[in-house]
Amino acid sequence: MLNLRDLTIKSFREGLLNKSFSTFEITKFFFDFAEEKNSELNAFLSLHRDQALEAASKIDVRLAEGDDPGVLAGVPLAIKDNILVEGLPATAASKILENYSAPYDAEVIAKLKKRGAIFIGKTNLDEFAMGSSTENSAFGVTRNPHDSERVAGGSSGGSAAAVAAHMAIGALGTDTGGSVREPAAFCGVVGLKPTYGAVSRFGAIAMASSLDQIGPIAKNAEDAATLFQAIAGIDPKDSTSVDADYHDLTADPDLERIRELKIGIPDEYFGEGLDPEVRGEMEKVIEDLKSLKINLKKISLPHTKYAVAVYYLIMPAEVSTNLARYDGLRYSPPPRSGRPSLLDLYLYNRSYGFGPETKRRILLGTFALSAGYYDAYYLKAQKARSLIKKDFDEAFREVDVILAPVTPTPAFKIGEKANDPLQMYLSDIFTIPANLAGLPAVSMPVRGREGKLPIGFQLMGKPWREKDILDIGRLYERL
Amino acid sequence: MELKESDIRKLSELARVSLEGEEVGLLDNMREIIGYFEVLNELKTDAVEPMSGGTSLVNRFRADAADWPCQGLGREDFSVKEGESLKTPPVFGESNA
Repeated sequence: MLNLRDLTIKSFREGLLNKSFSTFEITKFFFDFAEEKNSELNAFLSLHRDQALEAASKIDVRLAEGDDPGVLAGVPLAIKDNILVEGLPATAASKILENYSAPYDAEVIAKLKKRGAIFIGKTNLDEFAMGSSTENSAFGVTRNPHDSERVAGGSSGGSAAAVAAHMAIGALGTDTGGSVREPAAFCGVVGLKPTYGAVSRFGAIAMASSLDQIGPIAKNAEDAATLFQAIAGIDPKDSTSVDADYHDLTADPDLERIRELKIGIPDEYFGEGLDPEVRGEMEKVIEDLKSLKINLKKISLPHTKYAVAVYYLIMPAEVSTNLARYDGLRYSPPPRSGRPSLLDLYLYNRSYGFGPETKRRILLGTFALSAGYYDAYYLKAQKARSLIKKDFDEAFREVDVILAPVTPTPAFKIGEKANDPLQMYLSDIFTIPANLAGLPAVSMPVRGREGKLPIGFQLMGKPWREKDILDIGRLYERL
Repeated sequence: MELKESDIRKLSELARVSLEGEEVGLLDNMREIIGYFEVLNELKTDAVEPMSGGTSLVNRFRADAADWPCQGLGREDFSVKEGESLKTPPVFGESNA
């Protein structure tokens, strides 16, 4: 009997190449499990058995012909439903896109297909990736695989839950203010937010364009490195993408090289509001890293306390602009009677198609960009963003990597913060700064929490130095 | 600033989103959230350049000058001119020019 729990990308490939299973068999096996488990967790918004089995058969044919279909041959992946996969739905968990089917592949999907990956289905998220719990999905909340009364995190909660519950070996999410790292921390898996510009966003449904990045969610740091290596790179279709050298991310980490690095511990991330249990686990992580003889140093990032305000001004401003294109006429027009004017139609369709949090952010963004308030709010936030970035620039003159918690608390109960948006926003305090500064950051599960709610720690790196944070993560996993 | 219900209605009109009985709830939430933004007033940012993108890459613009050297280039490629205006041929049908 195959144990899905033990399968990583590496062990999957070994099993496939030594013929322990065929791609078709294992894809079918994953579907049988995922279809049953999904009724409990609501991690997937749609599962696509026929397409996946057809792709799996093609991989088997290529393997039988002695061809190597790629490093991700047959690997079953879950894709967040705001990333386009040709022929599959892409709802962004919004009623306004309920019947939209993607006419082309996102660049990341094209790259994964080229390397042989199989797509199990599209995963749940907060509507248009706006939220920290998937409670803002138009299609129901995703439950945490470790405690079904608690949230899986968000916005990539479906992707994180799918990997944590072994419904997929890896997944893609998007991270605008922590949407890969926070659900990864709540579900006990690894989530990487790459450097801004490292991964093409062509074919990702835009939320806040100066912050959005696509990133992998995986069972361990090595798998996250494999997935990141597969999707990274410049793309002429995304002018913000950059041609950078990440070195060989999947090579065995060199402890001696890591010992030459210095990890900074910022005071501002360990202050008031940090749950005592999280604090205790962070102290254990620090001790674990010391046991590897890695250098640690206290640092300060003095503008951290402004990050939430800066983010919740800049992000909604970009949201209100990006979401202005949705008129609700094509993919899910609401029932209506009479012959309304075009303006009335827009007003009615957008009101029907967008959920409460999306409307709130569109209105906040409209407010921040409106005449008379632009300088006082939006421009002020852009300037404060510069100060937050400067903090990191200065810190990275002294250290190579920064260690911090991912979230102030472990996964909270479903409904606990749903009626208090400001409290929900404040829970993003530790993840937002990396997005504002465009830095790579990985969320790693704290070890030794079997039987308890997972807690994550975060490693933030210098731009384009994903290798540093992933290698430290891999060495930590070996302890 | 203190938001009023009329401000919410104006914003919803600008954002092309009709609110059906949601105004009161939104007003409370937005008052609290916008109140929280006041923390930024502690910062002195007069001499700080705004960060407008996700990276420190900057666009290269030409100088914002009226006597740009390329001004007027290409005029000779237009077959029909009327004073300062240039006429383009129609996409469909015969040109009346």
